[in-house]
Amino acid sequence: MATQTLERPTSASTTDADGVLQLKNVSKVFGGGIMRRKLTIAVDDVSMTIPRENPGITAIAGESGSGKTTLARLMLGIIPPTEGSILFNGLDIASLSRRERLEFRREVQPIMQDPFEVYNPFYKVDHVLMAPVNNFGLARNKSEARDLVIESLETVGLRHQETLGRFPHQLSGGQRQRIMVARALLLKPRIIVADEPVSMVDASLRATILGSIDLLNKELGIAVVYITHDLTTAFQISDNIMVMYRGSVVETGRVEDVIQNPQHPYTQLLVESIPRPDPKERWGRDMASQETGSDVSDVGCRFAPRCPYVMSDCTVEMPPLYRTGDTQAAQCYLHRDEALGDVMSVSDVFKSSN
Amino acid sequence: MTTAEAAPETATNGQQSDALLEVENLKVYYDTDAGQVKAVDDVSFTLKRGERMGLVGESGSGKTTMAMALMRLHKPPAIIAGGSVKLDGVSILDLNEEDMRQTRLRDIALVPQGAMNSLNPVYRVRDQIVDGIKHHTPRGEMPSKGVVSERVVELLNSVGLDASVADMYPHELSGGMKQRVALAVATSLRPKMILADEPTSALDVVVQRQIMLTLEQLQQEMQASVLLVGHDMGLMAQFADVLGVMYAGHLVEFAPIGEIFENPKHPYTKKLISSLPDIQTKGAFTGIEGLPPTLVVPPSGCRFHPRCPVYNDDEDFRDEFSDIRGGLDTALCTTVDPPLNEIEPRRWVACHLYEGGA
Repeated sequence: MATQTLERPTSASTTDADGVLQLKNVSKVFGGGIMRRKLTIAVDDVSMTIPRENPGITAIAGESGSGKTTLARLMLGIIPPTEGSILFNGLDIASLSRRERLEFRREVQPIMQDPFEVYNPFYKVDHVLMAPVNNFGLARNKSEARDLVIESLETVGLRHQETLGRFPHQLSGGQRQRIMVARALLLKPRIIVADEPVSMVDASLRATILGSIDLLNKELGIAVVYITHDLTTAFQISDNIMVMYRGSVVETGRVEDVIQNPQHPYTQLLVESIPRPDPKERWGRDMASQETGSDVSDVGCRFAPRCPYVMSDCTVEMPPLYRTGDTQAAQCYLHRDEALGDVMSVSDVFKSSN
Repeated sequence: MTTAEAAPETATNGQQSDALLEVENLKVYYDTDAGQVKAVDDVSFTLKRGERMGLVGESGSGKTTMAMALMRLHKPPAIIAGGSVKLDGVSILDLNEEDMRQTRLRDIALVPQGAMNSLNPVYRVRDQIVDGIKHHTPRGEMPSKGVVSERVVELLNSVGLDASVADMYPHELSGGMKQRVALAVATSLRPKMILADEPTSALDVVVQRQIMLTLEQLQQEMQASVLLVGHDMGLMAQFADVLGVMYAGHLVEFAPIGEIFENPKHPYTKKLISSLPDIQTKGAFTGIEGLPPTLVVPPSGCRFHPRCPVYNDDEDFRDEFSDIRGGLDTALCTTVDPPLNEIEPRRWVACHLYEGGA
């Protein structure tokens, strides 16, 4: 490669098929200690690849408790998987050298859900922005560093006069969240894992922030993993989507296919429940599929207790991801007969962006 | 012309009993070190009996401050600096503390934003409900224990919960169940009016839909009015009969929900509607350019003018206002704060664009 100074030599086994980040049959189980005998399968056997070229924006959608945040934390290397492995540039992130780990930490940047947790209350917010500038040598001098910071703040719609020099508690949740986006902008990483980056801001600002994330992807080629419960913004911003329910990916594929023509009963329920901004198209009045407690069996389809189409097989064994089209797959026995085969990796049905 | 001598009257004729909540020229100010913040400035509207009103605005627009002031639950340094609030003919701002306490929950009840934080973690659900009934029922009128017990079960059933939930603690409930308990508490004394401040903001869409439909069911059954405060236009489209739009402390538009979506009048509302994402068409993100103003030193004249597509002659919006823009004297936008006028029956808007004929 021509850009040898930038490209780190990768291990010999790396091919383009491996992508930048690869999840191989990753599962995460919580609990199971002496005190808590009940196991919670937060992520259940997920495989996916984020490609090196034209990575696009991938949405991970689901309700709270679906495992989407756990999956994000696994991708970021914050928690180790219980089973399976996660590869960065072909190397297992569980066994990276110190230098490789630093590289991974810079290249895979989080924008976390709760902007309260990431700030040290004793430092001014400047710290969270200047630290990466200094640590990774992004600027030659102080004024250049300041210009960089101000520019990134403006990109996310913040006035530096009203943010710099303040303590975290003096800012609103929306402001804190936008500072996290600004921080990720500064580092121009390979992958951004954004966990509900717009859950605390208004509609007009939401557009600004999602617009800047979109720009990162389109202009700089940064892969974005957008984790959300909001299918509307997922539809607007993403190329591909995976819908999770209680740890499993129940449906995956090109975002237009999955949202506009959902094949899994759970995705159908989700799409039906979106509050459409049109008073002439109001929700159906039936309240079928009432939420159930946490009494979900660990065998069979997790959605079976709420599913209007439940069959006897559903409670016996988890269905595989059946390919229902070129760019769509659903984990549901309803599609067993007309399926175009099984899908092993969630990203196999992704549309490549260009 | 001062702002709304008469509040937006949702009734077409003069039937006084039709109006449940009448807000006139309400002003809520914060005294801060940086100066006086006019969080709610001269807001007037009328809500009909049994009507569901939505109130939207960006954060900092004053929508929550105003809603809290309606129950006199605004917190210092906020003070009500002027105006009047009438609930069923009773002037809320003139009540003494004890009468106000009795009015809360009995006449006007709040469904809080995060039910997680509004329930006492060491009380069983039953006690939370009974507590509310006890504290807002006049001395000597408290029904017997048996009657109250039955009422608790009845209330839980009405919000779609099993009677067994009465003996559970908040931590044993899911987010949706907690919000249902909050609904049960709010409706325990059959109020005339329910104030809901982003009641589903922390919930998933499926649960959100169930909660909103439950609220609608309760509202219809009690013939109560609802004021739903939030920023999700989708939720408003699904739930509200009429919608108020706030910007920088002012109510800038008030109209039936269908009108707002089909023919928004105020340029801010128009921007808001046109920037709504949907799942039909994938489009570019068009937020509203600029930032909401700080209320310590609001822009002169119309508070929206620095971001206004009409004032700034935004190309994308030129066609939208072409028929009326000719009559606009843009000098007014920067000098005169436009009053809220009724331009058509039930349609109120605060914008110089619509003053041509007046």
